[in-house]
Amino acid sequence: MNIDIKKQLDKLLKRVEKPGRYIGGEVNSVMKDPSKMDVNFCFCFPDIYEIGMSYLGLQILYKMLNDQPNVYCQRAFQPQNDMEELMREEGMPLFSLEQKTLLKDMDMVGFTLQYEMSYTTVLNMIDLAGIPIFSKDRGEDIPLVLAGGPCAYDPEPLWEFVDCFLIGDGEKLLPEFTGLYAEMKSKGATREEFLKEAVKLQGVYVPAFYDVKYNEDGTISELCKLYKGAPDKVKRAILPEIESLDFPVEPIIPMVEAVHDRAVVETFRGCTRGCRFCQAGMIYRPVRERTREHVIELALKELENTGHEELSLLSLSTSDHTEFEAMALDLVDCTKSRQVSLSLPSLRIDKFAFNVLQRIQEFRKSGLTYAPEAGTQRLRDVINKGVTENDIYTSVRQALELGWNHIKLYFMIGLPTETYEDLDGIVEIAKNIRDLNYEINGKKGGRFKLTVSVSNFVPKADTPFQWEAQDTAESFRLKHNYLAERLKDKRIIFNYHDNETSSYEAVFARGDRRTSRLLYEAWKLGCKLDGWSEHYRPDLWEQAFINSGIDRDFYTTRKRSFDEIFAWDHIDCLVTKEFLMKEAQKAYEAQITHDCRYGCVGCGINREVKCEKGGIYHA
Amino acid sequence: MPRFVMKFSKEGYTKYVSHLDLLRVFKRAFKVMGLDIKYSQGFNPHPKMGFAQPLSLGYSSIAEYLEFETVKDHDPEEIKELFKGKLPEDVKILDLFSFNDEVRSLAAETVACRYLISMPTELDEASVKDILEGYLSQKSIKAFKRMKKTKTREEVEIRDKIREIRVAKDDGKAVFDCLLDSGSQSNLSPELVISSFLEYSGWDLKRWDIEVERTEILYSNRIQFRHIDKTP
Ligand code: SF4
Repeated sequence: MNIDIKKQLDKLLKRVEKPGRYIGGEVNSVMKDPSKMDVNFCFCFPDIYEIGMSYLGLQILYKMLNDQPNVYCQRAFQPQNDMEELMREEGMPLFSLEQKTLLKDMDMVGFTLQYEMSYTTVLNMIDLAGIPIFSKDRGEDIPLVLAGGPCAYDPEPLWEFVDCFLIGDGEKLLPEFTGLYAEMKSKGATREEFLKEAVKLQGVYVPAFYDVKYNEDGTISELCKLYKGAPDKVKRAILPEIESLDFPVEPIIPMVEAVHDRAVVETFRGCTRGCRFCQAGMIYRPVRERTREHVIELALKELENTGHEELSLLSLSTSDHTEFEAMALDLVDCTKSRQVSLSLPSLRIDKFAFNVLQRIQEFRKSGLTYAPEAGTQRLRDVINKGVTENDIYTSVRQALELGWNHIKLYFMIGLPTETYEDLDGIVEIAKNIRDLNYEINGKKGGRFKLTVSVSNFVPKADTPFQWEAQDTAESFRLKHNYLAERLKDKRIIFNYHDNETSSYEAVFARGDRRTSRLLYEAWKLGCKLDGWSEHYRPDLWEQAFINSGIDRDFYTTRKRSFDEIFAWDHIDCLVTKEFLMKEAQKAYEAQITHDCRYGCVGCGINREVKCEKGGIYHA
Repeated sequence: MPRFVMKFSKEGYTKYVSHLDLLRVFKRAFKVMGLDIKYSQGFNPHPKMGFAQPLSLGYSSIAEYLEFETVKDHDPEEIKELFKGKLPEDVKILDLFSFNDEVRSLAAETVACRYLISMPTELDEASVKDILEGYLSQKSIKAFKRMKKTKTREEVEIRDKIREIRVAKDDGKAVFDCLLDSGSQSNLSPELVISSFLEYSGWDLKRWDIEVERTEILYSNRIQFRHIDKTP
C-alpha cells in the first residue's frame, strides 16, 4: 500500500462527514495482498456506500471472486460531494476501501448497472479514478472498464465508456472471465488480444467490435460487426440452476449504517407471470429456486454469522416460491425465537399470504401493499397483471377485519392504451377501499390510512412494451393533476414521481449509441447521483439535451414499428423477439397470457436451459 | 449480576468509525458470539453495555473501556476467545476482566482522560516547551465552545480543567501529553485545548494536520481495578 495515499487520505477523512464510508475494514471484508494476485478487480457501485452496501449482488460477487485464490475483489463507491471535492482538490484519485489501492492501478473495474439514473455516476467514478473517460483513449496499462446488471441489456448509452459488458448471471460469467484474463495476462496478451478471446465466452459484449448505421429518419439501418470473431448476437450468460451456488452467509457487515441493514436470502430468480411492462420478468427467466430447506439453512447461518436483527427474502414475486407458505411459516418461527424481524417484500397479498402475515407483527406497522398497477380490468389485462378488483377487495376486507389500518396501493400511469377511464378506475378502487374501511370500522373509520402511489410508465428493452411510446411530460402532468384532484380525501395520501427523471430514464432504457453524447454532456455539466433529489439537476439535464442535440421525443414518445431495428438487437436475452411481439399484439386486444406454470407459453428460454416450473400447475 | 470491563484500542482507520456505529459493532459482535448479554426490561429492550467515555470521531485510542453485563457468569478468558474474528481489524482487545466495584457505571466514575496531541512544527523541543509554559502560566485561558442546544459559540474558561500538559518533540511533531478533566463533574474537550493553544502560539496549522490519541481514562477512587495513572 502506498504510504503517501494513506497520509493524504488521513487528512481528507478528518474533513468530511461520515468518514466511515471510505475506510473499509468491516467484519468479513477480505484482506489479501494485491501484489500477489493475478487479477485485481474493483467492484464499483455507482452510488454512495450506504446504498451500494444494501445490494445483495455485491455480496454475492464479492464472495465468489474472492473465493478464487488468485483473484482479489475490492470495493469502491461514489463518494459524497464533500469527499469528492476534497479528492479532486488534493489530486487524490478514487481508491478501493480494502487496501486503498487506486482503481487505475487495478486490472479491471466493474460497475453494476441497476438503474439508468446511475449512468452519470458511472462516468464520474471512471473520471475520479483517473481513468480516461473514453474507452478508445485507454492504453495497455489502464484497467479494463466492465459493466453488468439489468441495464446492460441495452448497453448502448454507455458504449463509449465501457470496454466490455458482461450480460447475464455474473456467478457464471465472472469466474470464466477472470480465469481467462489471468491465463492471458501471464502470456503477455494485449488488451485487444484478450478482448478478442473473451468474446468467445457467452455473455461478453465488446462494443468496439460492432458498428451501427442509421437511416435518414434516425432509426437504425444496420448493426454490423467490425471484428469477425465477435458473435452476431451476444447471448446472455445463464445458470441452469442456483441451488448449488455458494451464497454469502458471511457478508460484509457495514459499520456505517447501510440503507438496508439486514440479512437477505435470495429464494429464487426469475418470474413466470409475464407482466408486459416488466423487464425483470423477462431477463431473469426461467424461474430457478432454492429449496425451502436450503433457504432456511442459509437464513439461519447468515443470522448466526452477522447478528442481524432483520431478515428479508429476495426474489421477484416472493409468494410464488413453490413452497412459500411452509417456508415462510418456518422462517416466522425461527426468526421469532431469535428476536429477528422478518420482512417479505413484493408479496402478493392473497389468502395464502395472510396465514403468514398474521404471524408477523412488523407488518402491522408498515402496512399492506397491493400493486394492481392499473385502474381497470381492461388495462390490467393489457399489461397482463393477473389480479382482479375482487381479489383486492376480498383481501383488503380481510386485512381490515384483522386490524390492519394502513393500506398501500401502487399504480403505473401512461401505460399503453390508457385512457382517463383507467384513471377513474384508480380513483374508484381507492374510494372503494376507503368505504370498505368505514363499513368495517364504523363511521369514524378508526386510524385508517390509504396511500396511493403512481409511477410513470417507462418502456424498457426486452419487454413486450419495448415498441411503445411513453407519455409526454405534459400528459403525465395532466394525469397527476387529474388524480390529485379526485383523490383529495383526509384518509388518502397521494404520491407521484417526478416527470423529468422518468423521461431521462426512458431515453437511456431504450437508447442507442448516440445517447452516449447526452450522457457525456450531462456529466460534463456536473450531473451525478441523479437518483437523489438533493443532487438531481433538471436544469443541467435540459442543457445537456441542447448541447448534445439529442431529440428526446425520438426516444421517448415515438411509437416504434415492429420492423424497426433496435440498438440492443445484438444482445440476446434469450426470450425471443417473436414472443415479445406476440405479447404486444395480445396486449392491444386486452388478451391475457397465463402464468406459464399452467403450461409453457413459448417465451423461448427453454431452448437454452430447462424450465423446472413450466407447466407444474397442470401436472 | 456478572459484570465485565473490556479495555480495547481503536486505531488505524477505525478512528473514523463513530461512537454510535462502534456501539452497534459491539452489539452485533455479542450477538454473533452468542454471549448472553443482559437486556434491559421494557418495551424496547437494549443490551446492558456502555462505553466509559465517548471518543470523538477522528481520534484514535489505546484506552477505550466498554462495560457489559451477562446473565450467567463467565471466565473473562472465555469471552476474549469468543471475540476472535468478530471485531474490525483495528479494534484490539487489550484486557478483559470481571468488574465487581459497587458503582453505577464507568461513565459516572470517569474523572479525567489523558490524550496525546501531535502538531507538526519546525521548532526545537526547548522552544516548544517555552511556548507551552507560557500558555499554561496564563491565569485564564478562554476557548470557544460550540453549544449543542443553541448552536451558538460560547466563551468558556478552561484553565482550571487542564490538570497537566507536558511536551516532547518526536519526528517533526510536538507531542503534547495532556491530562484533562473528563466526565460529568467537569469536562474539557481536547478540541478547546487545541484551538486555544493555536491562538496563543500563533501556529498556523489546519485542524486536520493535528492528530489526537486517547491514552488513558482515569476513574474516581471508588474504582478498584488497575489505576495506570495516579490522579494528581
Ligand atoms: S420457456 Fe415456457 S415455461 Fe419456460 S419460462 Fe418461457 S414460457 Fe415459461
